[in-house]
Amino acid sequence: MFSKDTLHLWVLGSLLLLVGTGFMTLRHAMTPASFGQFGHYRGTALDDCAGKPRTLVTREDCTGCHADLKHPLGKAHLNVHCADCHGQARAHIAACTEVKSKVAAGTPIVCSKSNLLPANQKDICLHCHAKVVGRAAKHPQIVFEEHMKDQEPKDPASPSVCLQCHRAHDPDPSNSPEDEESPAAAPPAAATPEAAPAAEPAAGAPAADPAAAAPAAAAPAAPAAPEGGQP
Amino acid sequence: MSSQNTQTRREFMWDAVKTFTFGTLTLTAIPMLVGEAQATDQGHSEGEGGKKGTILFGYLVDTTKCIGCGNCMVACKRENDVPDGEFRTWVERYVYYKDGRVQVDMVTAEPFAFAGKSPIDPKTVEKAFFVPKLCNHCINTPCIQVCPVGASFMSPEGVVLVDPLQCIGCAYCVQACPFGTRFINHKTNVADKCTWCYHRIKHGAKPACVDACPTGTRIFGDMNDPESDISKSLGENRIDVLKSYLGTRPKTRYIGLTAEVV
Amino acid sequence: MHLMHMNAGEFVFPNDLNGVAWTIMIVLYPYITGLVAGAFVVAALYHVFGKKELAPVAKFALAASFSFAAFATTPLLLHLHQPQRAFNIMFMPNFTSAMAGFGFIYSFYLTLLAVEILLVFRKDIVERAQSSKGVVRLLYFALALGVVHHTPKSRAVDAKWIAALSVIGIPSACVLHGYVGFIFGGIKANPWWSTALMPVIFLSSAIVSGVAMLVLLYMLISKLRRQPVDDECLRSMMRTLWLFLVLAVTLESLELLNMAYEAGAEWHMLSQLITDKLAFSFQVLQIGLGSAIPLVLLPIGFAKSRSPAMRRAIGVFTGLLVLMQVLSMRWNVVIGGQLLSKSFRGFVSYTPELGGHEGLLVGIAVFCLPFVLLTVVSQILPLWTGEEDHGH
Repeated sequence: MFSKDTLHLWVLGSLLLLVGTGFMTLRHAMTPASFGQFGHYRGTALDDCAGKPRTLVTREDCTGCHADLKHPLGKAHLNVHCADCHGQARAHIAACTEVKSKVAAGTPIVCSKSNLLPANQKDICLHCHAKVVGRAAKHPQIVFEEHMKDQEPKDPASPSVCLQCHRAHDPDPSNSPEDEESPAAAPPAAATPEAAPAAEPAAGAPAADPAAAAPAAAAPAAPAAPEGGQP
Repeated sequence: MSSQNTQTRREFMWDAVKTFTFGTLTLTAIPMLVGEAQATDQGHSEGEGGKKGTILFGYLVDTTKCIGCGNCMVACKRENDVPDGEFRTWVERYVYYKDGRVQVDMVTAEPFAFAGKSPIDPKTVEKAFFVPKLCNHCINTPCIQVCPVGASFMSPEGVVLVDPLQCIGCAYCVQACPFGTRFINHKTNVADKCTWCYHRIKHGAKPACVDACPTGTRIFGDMNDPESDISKSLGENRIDVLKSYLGTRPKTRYIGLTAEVV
Repeated sequence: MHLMHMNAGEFVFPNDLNGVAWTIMIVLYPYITGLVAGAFVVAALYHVFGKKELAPVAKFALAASFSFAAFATTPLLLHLHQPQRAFNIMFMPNFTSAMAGFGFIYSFYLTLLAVEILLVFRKDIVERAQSSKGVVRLLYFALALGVVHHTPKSRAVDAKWIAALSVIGIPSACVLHGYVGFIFGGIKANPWWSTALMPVIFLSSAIVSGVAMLVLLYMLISKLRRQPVDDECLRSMMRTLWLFLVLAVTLESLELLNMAYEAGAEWHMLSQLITDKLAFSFQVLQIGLGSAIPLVLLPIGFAKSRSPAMRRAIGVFTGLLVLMQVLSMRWNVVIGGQLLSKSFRGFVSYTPELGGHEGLLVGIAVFCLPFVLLTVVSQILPLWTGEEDHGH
């Protein structure tokens, strides 16, 4: 079997064996350690996916502090995310967390960056409540011009005209907004110090940046901010 | 001298054929059995939440509630840094005209604009509704089946994910997905898709789209928890899935589909 | 899907709008591996099935198969979005995926081919090693695996190994190309691709393309070398080409007819691929010019009564048409299947870009590379020795 006549075949076989061994070595080196841990995938990929940064606020991020709202959400708006009108409010959450950390638990605070009302409330309302083919009939929706003609609001040109008749949190038409403070009704109050609003644009709102126009809205109108002095 | 010379060419070839057949069968049977075992492991036990006490995530879309506001699309894009023109989730609209035609278009992020489409005269419409779409996180995933390198996989909770460090960008999974929910992310150059916001749900939060939805169209939770919203909804409603005839067994389920929804 | 309602306009899933994921590189890959398989079958017809009339091209066929195989991965690497991770397919293969088989099937086949070439040409290599000097000698020394002699006994041993490798090589070449068909055929998401016939369709048209390529190259190179074309050899190849073409066209037609007859849910869209989106590449290139004409002309060409000159003319003409048929078939399958959106309500379009790493220019360059290698190989090894030399 092993002779001068088969020598070249033995050389070939050894070369192939060498290549095969090289491959197995390379394979071992290149395969991540956690591969195959849970299945045919890199086990640490689970942590990679779970560890990505969370950008958007959750509802709990808001209700964590604002569990009891001064103006509670009505049934219709129970599922509406706070951020849809009030913006992502990351800066607000960061500032309040910082302020809270310096006082005893339960102390009411007013912190900076709490002016979270959008100026273009009407656009935000119409985003969901404009009449669009596809929206179920039972969903309240209007054709804006017709609705203005029907309702004859006091200031139809206002960017938050809807709030002249509807409460934002509980917009059932039977709830009159004049029962309580509302941003359109109250005169613009002095802004609290450092109330440079930094609300990010609300999800789904058109390009108009509420933050830029917000100083015009009343400062203490953030619904659940309890009154209190600066710490 | 050696016995080799007495063997005829025919005998040798027969030996070769036998060796080859045996070799091939062994070499192919083993990987196939391994592959089958893997498929069983990956697709079935996680996908069906086999073990007691484990979480099995599920998703339910109640299309009767969707108003096509697009908040979900915007939230998803921002949360997951999805490039323009690529979608981890989107919302379709089905319009049935009175003359018997059906038109399908897509909600865009602009408010109530349906950019580019001429407005529809409501008087010509018999019925219309919205259908949100996202990854179906199937139990029998065709995408995991075809991924050549194990970059597509299912987490122990039943979430179908992509390992961006393992993916070679061959796009086979994009071809294999019947629902068009996968794409090659042109910023990261790997396959991408809805992950049910794995980075949020692992920390007790909801996916961004579920949080953003103002009407409760999108429901998410642990199907192994009988008290969860999703378990209750699944129990109380008539449930459908997309392209059920393909047998992928999606875990994203629907209320309110019609025959025309694909 | 459209039980009661007619479509009003198109709708394409948004992710489909980004264009096709598999471009001309993925059209080229099965085309090149098809040539690999087809060329090898011609060599095997001589080595295994004893078709002596193919002696003139048998050695060349092996070298051609190898040259195409050497560049089979090039279009794939150009397509991958993360080509530096290409070896993941071999290090961590997921065997439920047909694509995962690629690394091993390909490596196995390439090795087999390289070994068979070293053995088939061993006598010439050794003789050239003995008679050359310097760097050239080093090359032949390496090709001879460091053993620079041969005896009748060693040649006898080699002959047995060559026979065995040829036998193993046929199913290997078939699997190498058949699995490509399965990559498409196993995708239930795509109704244009999903069929059990796909591997066999791909394989039979692959062999068609390989034989056609050999017919053309044989005549071209004979002209360049100012050597006569062996008429019996050409006749045999044209007959083989025709038989496999009949098989390929039969299978392709069966597939289409079955789809049309059953008229399943997506047929009203798929039929538009044939009548509209792929009208030119399917009806004109694949069916008309590429299938119908060669099916008629080839029997006329290989008929015994034909004059050798006429036979050569028909060989060239039909060879070119068939090569075009197979390329357009690959295009119609790969690109065609991606034109229909998964919404089954609309189509996307694809025009290959001119530049770019998946563009036309790169595609043409990639296709030229095997011919360059073949020219280099022909300088090193005698591909056209008159007598087929098994080494005994």
